[in-house]
Amino acid sequence: MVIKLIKEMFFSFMNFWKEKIFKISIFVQISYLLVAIILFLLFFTEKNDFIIFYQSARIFLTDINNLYDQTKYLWDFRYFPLSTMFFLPFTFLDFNTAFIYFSVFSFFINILIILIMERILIVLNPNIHNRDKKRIIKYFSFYLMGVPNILNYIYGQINLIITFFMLLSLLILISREKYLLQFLGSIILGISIIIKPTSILLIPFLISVKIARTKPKFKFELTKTVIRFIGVIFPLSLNIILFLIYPKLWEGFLATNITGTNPVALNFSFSLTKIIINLLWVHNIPFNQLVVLVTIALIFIIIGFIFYIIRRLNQNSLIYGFLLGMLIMLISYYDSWDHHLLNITPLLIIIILYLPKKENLKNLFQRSFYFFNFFDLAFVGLWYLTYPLFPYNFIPTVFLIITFYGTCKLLVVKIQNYEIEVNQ
Amino acid sequence: MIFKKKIVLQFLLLTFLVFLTFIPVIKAQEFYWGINKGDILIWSCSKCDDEQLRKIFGNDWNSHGLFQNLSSGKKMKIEIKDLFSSENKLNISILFWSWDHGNEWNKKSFNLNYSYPRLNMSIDKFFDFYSSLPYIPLIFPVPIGEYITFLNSNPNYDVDNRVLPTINFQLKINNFTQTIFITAIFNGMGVLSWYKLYLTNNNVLIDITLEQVPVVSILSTTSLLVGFSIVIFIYLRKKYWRIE
Repeated sequence: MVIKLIKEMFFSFMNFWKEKIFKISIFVQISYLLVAIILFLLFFTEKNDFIIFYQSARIFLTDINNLYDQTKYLWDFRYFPLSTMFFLPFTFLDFNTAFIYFSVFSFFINILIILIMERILIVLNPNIHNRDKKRIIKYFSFYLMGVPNILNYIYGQINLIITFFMLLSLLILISREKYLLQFLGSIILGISIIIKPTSILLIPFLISVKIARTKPKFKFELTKTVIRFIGVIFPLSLNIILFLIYPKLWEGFLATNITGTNPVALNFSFSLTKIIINLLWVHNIPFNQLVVLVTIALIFIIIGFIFYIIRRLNQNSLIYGFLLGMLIMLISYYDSWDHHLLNITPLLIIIILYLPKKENLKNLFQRSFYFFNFFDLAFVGLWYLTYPLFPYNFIPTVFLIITFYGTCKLLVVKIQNYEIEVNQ
Repeated sequence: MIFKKKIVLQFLLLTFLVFLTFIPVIKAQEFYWGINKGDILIWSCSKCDDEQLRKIFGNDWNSHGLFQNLSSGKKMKIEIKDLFSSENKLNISILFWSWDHGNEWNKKSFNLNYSYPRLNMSIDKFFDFYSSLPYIPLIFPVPIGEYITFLNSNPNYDVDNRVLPTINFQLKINNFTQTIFITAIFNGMGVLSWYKLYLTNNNVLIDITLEQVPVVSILSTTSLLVGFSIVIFIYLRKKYWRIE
């Protein structure tokens, strides 16, 4: 089955390659990759995010008790201890070579991402290729040309790996109802959370419950929900073993992420939390960073979750759950940067291509996708000009909130000919 | 074939453009002063909690140094008198007018001289800024982000150069249980543009900002807000105020 899937994905890639726009997008990707490597070798050798991942893996091997000793890093290491395992193979190389290998690896991950996106679309609507082949290739090409990709490469960031695991998990979870596959899909989501907890807020949306006015009015699949939760928590719980063996790790993890007093940095993060913190900081209003974060996160989690469980949709609602989870994370966490958008643009593409052509809400998702994929970075530039007077990068926040609103609305409105079109 | 050539040309053009962007970056690794002789810089203080500061630093906390006479609503001025460099040092000489409401500036001024390592050689000991308030210098050589990152400063100083050149400093003082935080943000010319001294939960005791806001910031902020308002207006008009 796996070999068949790989063959199908290979043929899909060859089919995409026949289109001019796809060829251009691959060349743009390669250009991004080359630009990133050249910039790294000339200028960013000692100043990029990959240093943190590389360094953490080295410390994990040689001095695990000091994994959260932040004096050993250029910037804070905040992730789960097991995240370092993923970077262990790179520590056998010198740093510059490791960065280049990692960048090339990320490039191939990006290709896999679009192939998984295509698989998801086929699961959602088996006839989608006959109907929308050109549109699919166009959107995939736009994704590969997306501006956040270049930042992701330059910083040596790991967002593409998170997206890969998230989409793979989604594909497995929606393709079959078998409990074994539900368990496997959830484990893969757990692995993505271990590497970087960006997708941690996807967990509440794994619950299989629905309360609606349409039939069935109440549906709660207890076994499926429990299996999913066990699956996602299992990889995370392996960290607990490490925390028990090395208590200093737990203290460090807590101090870095929760109890520590990290100074406030004025920056262009577009999360709502950060914008509020910037506002309070500039106007000398006392605040506690953690309280602001938890309040904003709770508000959006509660709203998102209520809409999710009262949804009209009977099938494939998990895509919207995943999008809500990622949006809530970007809206509520302190640091939401341009390269994090690579976690949501594939989900937006899937929804845009999946929605019926005449659906009004589709425009909203299309606009958000184009903004995030091509224009968001311009507002970072604008922030550098305005920050002495107005240090708020609020336009992407507006788009995030609009997309959140659109997703909630999509879950509860009656979509014309939706089921018919999908089943045709 | 023509298509392939086009792609290769586009690729080469893109790479060339990227190389163009390196040129100033590579040259900029030589450190120099971002300000000029004769420049006048003014800072203003929007908040100063004298009562708390006396409790922490003693009654004479503002009787000397760069914070002499500091209180809320006052301004401080410096004039760059001279800039010169030697083999190992970048030196600056300034005329300093201490905190005032602005009327007495012409009468009282002091000469201050500072020197910084050029960073073209390894520095084998920590570079200490100040051992008393404000703990942070007013001016650094540029490019400041690189300078403060590679300056081998005391480990109590945390340099955050990811977005804005920022120095964070945490201080523990005997007889005072809370940690004191200082955040100093610098502009592209290497000049301190924002200084905050605060306690936990952003209880700000001192807030100082550089007075000169670049014209480009005023124009950009105005354009951004006007543009956003217009988009909102057009959207609302289309959605709710449609004329039949």
